[in-house]
Amino acid sequence: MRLDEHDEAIIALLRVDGRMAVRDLAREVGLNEATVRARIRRLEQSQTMRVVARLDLPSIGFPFTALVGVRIRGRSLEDVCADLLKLEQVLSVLSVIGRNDLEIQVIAKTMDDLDHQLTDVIPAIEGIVSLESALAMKVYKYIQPWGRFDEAD
Amino acid sequence: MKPIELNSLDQRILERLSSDARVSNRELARELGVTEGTIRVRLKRLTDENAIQVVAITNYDHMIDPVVAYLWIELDANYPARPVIDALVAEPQITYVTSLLGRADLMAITWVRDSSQLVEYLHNRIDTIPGIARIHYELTHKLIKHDFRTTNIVK
Repeated sequence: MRLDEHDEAIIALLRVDGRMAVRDLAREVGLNEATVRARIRRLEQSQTMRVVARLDLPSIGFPFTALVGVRIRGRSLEDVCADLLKLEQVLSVLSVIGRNDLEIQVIAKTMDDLDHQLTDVIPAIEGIVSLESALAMKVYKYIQPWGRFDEAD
Repeated sequence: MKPIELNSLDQRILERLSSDARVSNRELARELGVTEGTIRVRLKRLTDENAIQVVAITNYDHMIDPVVAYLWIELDANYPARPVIDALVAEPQITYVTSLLGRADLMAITWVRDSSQLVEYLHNRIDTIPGIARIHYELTHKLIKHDFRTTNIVK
């Protein structure tokens, strides 16, 4: 759907505070409450925008994140991805152009678990020939203005 | 950074918000069989302790030609690292910044609406940050999974 300036303004406000009251949204964008409510519904129904709760990884018990480059030989990317997506510790999978074929984010509750994932579990997946890993020491920014909506369904 | 205690009410609130985070406190209270005041207190605690954030996201699949790039950054040791980190964090097009053990000193993720913007953006905005020695760019071809339901909340 096409977005006008009012839609953009509503989305921008909800990106900062997704639970902002319709009353306050209406005042900020200069529309009445019924119009704002209808626009939010339209943005949601057209799968353009979604207001979501994002959970803090350390708070829910995952203080460790590794950023891992994966090289694949002799097996299709799709098949390897399908195996990786079965692991709940694999938070993201992106195919990339360059030395590695995939970049994945692996989360863990403990350093032992991270070691287990990177030493035993992931290298055992057929087709993965090497991993290049880094530990995220301190995350200074983590926003995500977009998402694949089918992931949450 | 330490895990917070989530009781069963918190869990139910989070579960409900993960499917529709615009639901009102009154509606939440009615569905979960508690008072509106209880919901308000629990939600305030979860947000104050940086355990959750409620935000709007837009549909990646509706973007015309989105490009996500990983920037593996090596720092110039003659400069302090902090201003580089601050400059990267301040960039609206950069969504993720972390310091690293291994592979590089920092990793930042940038996304632009289409590939024609990327070169100019990297050249004009990122390469000019003082203190960066080298950047290895890694272009993503396809976003297979990028779970938006979790994050690291930075305050």
